[in-house]
This record gives sequence, C-alpha cells and structure tokens, in this order.
Amino acid sequence: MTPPAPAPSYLYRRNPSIKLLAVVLVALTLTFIFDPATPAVLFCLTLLVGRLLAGLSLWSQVKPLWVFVLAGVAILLANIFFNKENAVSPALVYIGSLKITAPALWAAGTLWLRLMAFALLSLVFVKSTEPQHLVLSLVHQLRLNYRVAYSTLAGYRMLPLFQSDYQTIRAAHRVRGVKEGNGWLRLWSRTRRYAIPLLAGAVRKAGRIAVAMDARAFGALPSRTYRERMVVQPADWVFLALVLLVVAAITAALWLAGVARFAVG
Amino acid sequence: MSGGGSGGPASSRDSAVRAGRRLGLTFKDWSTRELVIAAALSVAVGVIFWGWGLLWSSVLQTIPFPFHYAFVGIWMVGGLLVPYIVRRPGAALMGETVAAFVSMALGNQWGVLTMASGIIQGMGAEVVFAAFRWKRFTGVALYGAAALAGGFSILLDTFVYSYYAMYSWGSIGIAAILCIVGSLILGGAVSQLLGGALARTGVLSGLAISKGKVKKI
Amino acid sequence: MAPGETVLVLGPSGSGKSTLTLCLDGLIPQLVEGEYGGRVAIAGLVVDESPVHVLAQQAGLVFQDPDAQFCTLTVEDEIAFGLENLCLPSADIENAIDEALLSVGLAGYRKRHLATLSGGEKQRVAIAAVLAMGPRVLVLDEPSANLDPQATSDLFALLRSLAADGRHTMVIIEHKLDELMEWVDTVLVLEAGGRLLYRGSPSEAFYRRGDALAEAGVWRPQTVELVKALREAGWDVPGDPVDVGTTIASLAATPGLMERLRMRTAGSVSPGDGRAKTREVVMEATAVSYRYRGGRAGSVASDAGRNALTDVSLTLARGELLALIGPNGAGKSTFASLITGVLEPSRGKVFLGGRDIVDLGPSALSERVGYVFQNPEHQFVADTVLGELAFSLSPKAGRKGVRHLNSQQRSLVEWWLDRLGLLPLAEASPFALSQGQKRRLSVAAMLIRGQSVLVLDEPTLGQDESQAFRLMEMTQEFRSSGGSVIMITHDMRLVGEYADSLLVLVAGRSVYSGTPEGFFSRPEMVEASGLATPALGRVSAGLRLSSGIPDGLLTVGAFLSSAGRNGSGAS
Repeated sequence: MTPPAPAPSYLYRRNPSIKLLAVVLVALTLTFIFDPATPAVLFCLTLLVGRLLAGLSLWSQVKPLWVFVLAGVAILLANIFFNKENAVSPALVYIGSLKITAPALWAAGTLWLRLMAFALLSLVFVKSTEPQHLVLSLVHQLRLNYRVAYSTLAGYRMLPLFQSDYQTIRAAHRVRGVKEGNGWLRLWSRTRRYAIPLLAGAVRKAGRIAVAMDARAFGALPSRTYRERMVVQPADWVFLALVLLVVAAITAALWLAGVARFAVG
Repeated sequence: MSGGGSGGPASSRDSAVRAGRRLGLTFKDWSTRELVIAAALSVAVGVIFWGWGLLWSSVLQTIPFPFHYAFVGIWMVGGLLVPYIVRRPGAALMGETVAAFVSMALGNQWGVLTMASGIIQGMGAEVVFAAFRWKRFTGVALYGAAALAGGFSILLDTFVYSYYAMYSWGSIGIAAILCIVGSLILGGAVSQLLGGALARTGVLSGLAISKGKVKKI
Repeated sequence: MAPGETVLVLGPSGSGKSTLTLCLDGLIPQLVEGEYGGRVAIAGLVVDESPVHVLAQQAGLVFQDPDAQFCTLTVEDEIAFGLENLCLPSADIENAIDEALLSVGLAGYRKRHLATLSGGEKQRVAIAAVLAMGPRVLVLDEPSANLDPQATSDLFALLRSLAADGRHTMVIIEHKLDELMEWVDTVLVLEAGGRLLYRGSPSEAFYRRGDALAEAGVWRPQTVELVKALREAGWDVPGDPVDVGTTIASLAATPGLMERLRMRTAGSVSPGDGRAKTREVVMEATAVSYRYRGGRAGSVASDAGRNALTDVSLTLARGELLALIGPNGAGKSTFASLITGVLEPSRGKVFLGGRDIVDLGPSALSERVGYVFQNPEHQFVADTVLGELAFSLSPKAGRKGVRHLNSQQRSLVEWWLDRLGLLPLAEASPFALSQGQKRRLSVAAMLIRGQSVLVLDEPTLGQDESQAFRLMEMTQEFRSSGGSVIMITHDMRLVGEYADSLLVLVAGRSVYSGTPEGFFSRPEMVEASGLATPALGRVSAGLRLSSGIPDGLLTVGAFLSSAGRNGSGAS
C-alpha cells in the first residue's frame, strides 16, 4: 500500500516544491481549456516525461489508470443525457431514440482526458518523489510548520500498519463467527466494527510515538536544524521555466491551429 | 544560530508567522500528542477516502451527474472528525489536507486535484470553526462546517470540471443541494458517531473530546 | 543512582513503572498533565525546573514497541531527528550518526529504510537514536517485549556491553529476568499504587523480600524459585544465587544433591509422557504447506510466490498443550491460521476429530476451534464487555443486548463475568480494560462457546506475573475439562512450565516435534533455531557438564521430583 521508494532520476532530483508547483500550474492551465486535444497532447507529453526523466516504464504509468475508463463512460453518459447543448444542437447520430450531439461528445472527451492528464501528472509526481524530501521541502520552501510536518510524517509511517491491522481484524472477526453482511444498511455496522479497533490502535500508537518524540526534545527549542536541507537550485527554476514554456507553446500552437478552446468566454 | 540552522530572511518569516498567528494557525497550543494523533487519524481517514474513491470509480459511476453528488459527503470526514476529536485551531485544515494527500499517494482517479479538493474542503470546515473562535466543535459548528465544506467542494468542482459549460444551472443546483445534504449526513453525522464511539473506548483520554467527561474505570 | 549503575525496575502492571520513566526525562511534569510531587534530579538538574531539551541530553528513553517510536522513514533521519531538535550543526550530526550506529553494531545500516528492519534491529536503532544525544542515563521500558528469543539475547548482550563501559547509568524495566541477573546492580521494586517496596541488591530482593514481591505480582527469576523450593525440601543450598552461573555453582556445592540427581533422574519419567500414553488425537495436520499468492490485495511484493510454510505436520491430543515456537517470521501465525481455517493450505490437509476442516465449513469450525489473536482488541466486536461474551453465544445478542439471550445463556455470561472479575465493568467498553483483563476477556469469549481446541497467540505478552498466572490457570482448567491448547509464544519459561509437546518452526519448516525436554537438552539445535533455553534448562545443562547429572530438567517441579526431600530416601 505504501508506494515503493522512488529511484533516482532527473525528476527525482528536482526540488519537490518546485515540482509540485509545476504540476499545479499545468493542472490549472488545463482547467481553463475546453477541448479534448490539449489534454490529450499534455497527457502524451507527461507519459514521455515520466519515461525519459523519471525512468518510469510506460506500462507502469498507464496501468494504474485503466480503472478510470469507467469514469469516462460515466461522463459520456452524463453528457448524452444532461448536456445543456443537446436541446439546441443537431444530432450527429441517433441510437434508438437517444440523440447524440457533437457538444456532448466534445465535453465528455474534454473532461475525461482532463481527468486522465491530472491523474497521470500526479502519478509521475508521486512516483518520482521521496516522501521525506517532500515534507522537508514543504518546511523549507513553503514554510509549513515543522511540528505539523514531522507529526504528519509519523502518521504517514503508520500506513502499512493500517493495512496489516485491517487484514488481522478481518480474520479475527471471522474466527469469532462474525458473518460479513452485504448491502448498504450493513455497511455502517461493518465500517464501525473495523474502524473502532483500527482507529483505537492508531491513536494509542500515535500517543506512544509522540512521547518518544517529546523525549528527544521535539519542539523544545524555538527552532531546529536540519541534517539535510532542501534547496532550490538554478536547475529547478530552469525545469519550471521549461515546463511553463512547453505548455504555453503547445496551447498557443493548438489555438492557432484552431483546435484549442478556452473554457471561459 | 548554529551552522546548517534554519535560514531564510528573518523579516519575511516573521511576517508570515504573524499572519499565521492572526489566523490562529501557528499550532502553538497543540501538544505533540495531539499533533501525532491528529496526523494518524488523518492518515486513517485518507485510507477511507481512497477506498471510497475505488467504490466511486466503479459502483457509483452507474449514478450520473448530478445525482452522484449525494455520495460526496464521506470526503468531508477528515475536516470534521479530526477537529471533533482534537478541537484545536487548524485541525480541520490539517485533517482534510493530510487525508487527501494520502488518498492521492495511494493512487486515485483525481490525482493532484485531490489535494485541491482537500485544501478547499478543509478550509470550508476551518472557516466555520474559526467563526466560532475555535471554542465550539459540536452541534451547530460541526454541521455548519460540514455544510460549508460540501459547499466549497461543489464550487471547486463546478470550476475544475467546467460544469457551467456543460450543464444547466438547474442541475448544478441539484448537485449542490445533494452535496451539502450528503456532507451533513455522511460527513457530519458519521464523524460525530465515529468520534463518540472512539471516545467511549477510552483511548482519547486527555484529548479535548474526553475532557470533562467521567472516565470509566 | 550512581553513575554507571544498572538498575532493574520491577513491579506489577499499573504500579507506575512507565510513569517513572517519563519522570526521569522530565516529560512528567512538564508535558504530561497530572499530579506530581517529590523531586527527580539528573546530574544535578532538577527535572521540573530544567528545560526538556537539556534533560533530553541527560536521559534517553527507549520504549517497548519498536514501531511506535519512530517518526521518519530512514535510519539516518531517525537518528538525526533528536540532534536536529537540539539545533546541532549538520556536520556534527553526520558524525554522531556514524558513531551511534557503530556503538549498537549497525554500521552500514545508515541508508536503510526503517520499514525493512527486523524488530531487534529497530530496537537497536531506537537505542542509537538516544545514544547519539549523549545521555548519561539510558532508560529502557521493556525493550525486549516484542522481540523473539534470539533478538532478545542479542539486545541484552548489547545493553550489557553498554553498561560495562561505565559511561551510562541504565534503568531497565523488564519481565525477562533470568537473562539480566548476571549484570544488574540494583533492583527497585514498586508495588501497585506506585509506592517503593524495595531497593537494593538483586539477591537481597529475591531472597529476603521474595514473599512481598510474590504478593505484589512481580516476576522473579526461575533460578531463585528453584533454590527456594530445594531449601524448603530440606536441601542446604549455599549462597543466594540469582543468575544461572552462580546457581549452577551453588547447586553443585549442595551436599548430597548431585548424587541424588544422578541416581534419580536416570530412570525418571517427565510429566509430559504420562499424558502422552493415553493419546486421543483431536487434531491432525498432514504436511501442510502455504504459499502466498502473488498479487493478492495487500500482500507485500516480496511475499508473493514465497512459501510461508512447507510440509508442517502436527498431532494434538485431548488435554494436550502444544507450544508452537520459533523466531519471528518463521510461519507460526500462518500455521495457526491454517489450522483454524482462517487460511486454506495450498497443500496438505487439516483434520479435526477425523474430518477435513474444509468439509466442516467455517461456522462449524469456529464452534470447535477457538483462536485468540495476539492483540485482544482486534477481536472485539461489541460495545460492552457483556456484549463481547453475549456475542459468542448469539451474534444478535452481542449487537442488540442480552435480552436476546435465553436464561441459561444469560447465567452463563454472568458466571463468566464473575469469574473474570468483570461484573462491575459489564457495561464498560472492552477497549477500556487493562491489558490483562482484555486478554482474559478475549480468551473467555472463546471458551464460553465450549470449543475443544484453543489456539493462543502470545497469551502472556505484556502482562505481569499474577496476570499471566491467572490466564494460564484458565487454560489449565480448560485442559482438565478435556480441551486441547496450541500456544504460540516466545516465552521459553512458559514453554518449560506448561507445554507437553513442542513444535519448532524455522523459516516455514518444522525442525523439531516432540517433548520440550528433548528439544532443550540439545543446545546446538536450540541455538540453530534462533531460540533460547529456559533458565532452568541452562542450569540443568550446566550441571550435566560439571556433575554429570542427566539432562532435561526444565521446571522447578521436575527438579524437585528428581531430588526429592533431603534425607527422606537416602538409604
């Protein structure tokens, strides 16, 4: 469940905050663009970046995304039924009595590809970033409170514990003769039956970790030093500038070619 | 300050700290225990977020817009359960953001967008708790926070997913109502019930939720 | 406490041992709320007046749960954490990390991820992390509680060497006394309520104050119990030995004892064999194997396709107590899961009363075989103590209340509550009970269903002597009514005292199956299995070497029945 430690690569060496900023800026650009082509191009570009600059195989990038095909179908259906342009647009084709319009397909494609691009961007970010580096960078560059940062890291370490505890609890309850009920009504009682021992165990463990941290003078002084400081190197700024430049160039080119459309206006 | 110490221009740092203090989010009055417990709870909630995301990406996809917004409420739990238990300034923002990060790191459909949702929803809840000067975390405050978190959530989605370009304002309105009502039930009520059940186990002794109550045994 | 002294703190659960450790570091009263009185001073610093960061450099704390004291992801970051908090410059930190790792024998572990370490290695990292801060006092709160026997003795060897260089005063809270007795200077005993009962040398504590200690529910070394029992039987054991070495010497010097043991043990029958004659097999496992399926949701990648268990067989007789032992990760819990139907073997079969458990089906199986997990909380399904017991009789009653039980069931539940001493807490949350109460409740929730086989996973973990004794009493009673018990444990003392037979697993394979005496009289096999011989087994082995007595005396009872009363049969 915990993502495996990322391998060193060009992207791995970039400052996590700068990398995060790049991802956010690209995502923000996409939310203002309303055509399927731009997200599709950026999706492919991200695949390439992931392959060449983060050393991720294409398959390892695409495989986690297959579940979102279903989301695409749902978006398509929602648009076929509910898109407000359906009433005023001519039909491309009729499936039975269902009227399929160009704006519906256009919107569904845009939205689905936008989602896929978001998902892939984050995937490449997560797979090329060491959690510890991200936390340190948030403290050093984005001035996140260090007590919050380290506490969160301590909490994050418990992730595998939740998984193993969940499996143990499931087995333990089965031994006691608990029958797993199905259906929405049972969902709550089941959630609670798992959640309480899981959360109680987590809270207890968290309390012990906190004592161990306090015992090592955590937060006892107004500031602290760092063995390793996350710094922003010129190469990081170059990376960010390149990302922005490429995205701007692609958007502009597609707009000039008459493909790109903007969402507002 | 010793070598390798935390640097940075002192003036900008001080002004940032002052601004934070005005907002009450310096985490000064949090004990380490509260911080780590809040983090652990947030991470656990993040796993729930992730699991709900899987359910969403499969089963719940059969329900089209705007009706699936009735099920968004679970994703408010981080910004409600954590402040309901710890009752400190910043708990809602921290809880929801950390939970969103965890569900993103585990891999979901929305990627970095999850973080945006987390921060926005957390802010929605935090704003309401702040309006109560962080003195009240139950009843009106809790459900108000749930409602505003849900409201912020649909606002963000309308923008990010360009709903305004696709759907009529009527159906977006239905989505908004469903989202807020869902947040009250799946977010607010679930947090209250879970928090209460957890408090009864005795593990939360010393935290705000258990203060003033007679400890069993 | 003097510089360089090693102090062992003993006391029953709830006597405030852990509270004391927090006081030593100034976390109480500075960060933890409560009432505080008296004075603690470290190196001349009074803890409630000195800042925590100054005290943190004086006293270092190590806790029992290896997973609950870290807050970063790698070894080097973890050791750096405390030093960074003290605002040390990074060059000094780098040096301190290397030095600390060297002193705990983990040089080369610097870049390792904490998640990849074993429990024993994690405890060493925890010690390194506090040593790096240069404390004068090292406080260890049950550091071996979660470790297997091999890791425990490695850890104790490390602590001993740290104590030997005289730079650190050491305060240790431990249950596993026999290993510590050789080098502990002082014993400090707390009684329930936190009052100091005794402070002084170990031999003084256990020989002059032994009864008071027993009354307080404090674990005592087995060697001491042996010497006392022999004295009561009229043997004139010289000295007051507390560790294995001196005990061997004292027993060898006891007039007449060695002659008697040589004579008597030759043809004696160990207590386990008598029961084995009337074996009525209850459960049988034939060459059971288990392989983790690749890609199973949640499986760690390295587990996929690995054999967790290979060709392990077992027969369990009516009334028998079988101990399942082996190092951590040897497959003990996997095996327990297979014979209780939690997992299904990839090869081999498990029979219960002659029927394949796969044919029996899960619900019929859970009526006959109980499995008490290591953490009792994982098994709680109801909101109240009463509900836990009621659930075992009727799941509906567990959820909705005892009114769904018939009068016979209701009186059964009440009888058990009374027996557990939990009547006043019937409506409390099971999570709010003490460690010992939780464990007894989870065992009772199994026994109340009238099962014939009970599997216990580390039943005495984290309990004091009287709690552990009460739990073992419950299982003994269950056995005398015909029940069979399989017990997973790291506590070799428990194995020596209670087990009829042993199944030893190493790396998923069975390396020994037979009587405990047969196993522990072969030290090379014990060593190779990564296990440890119980203290009395080591005494017995030592006497064999020095005085030629036959081997295999693992309990006080076995020694006594071999030695008899002095003067009674010396014709």
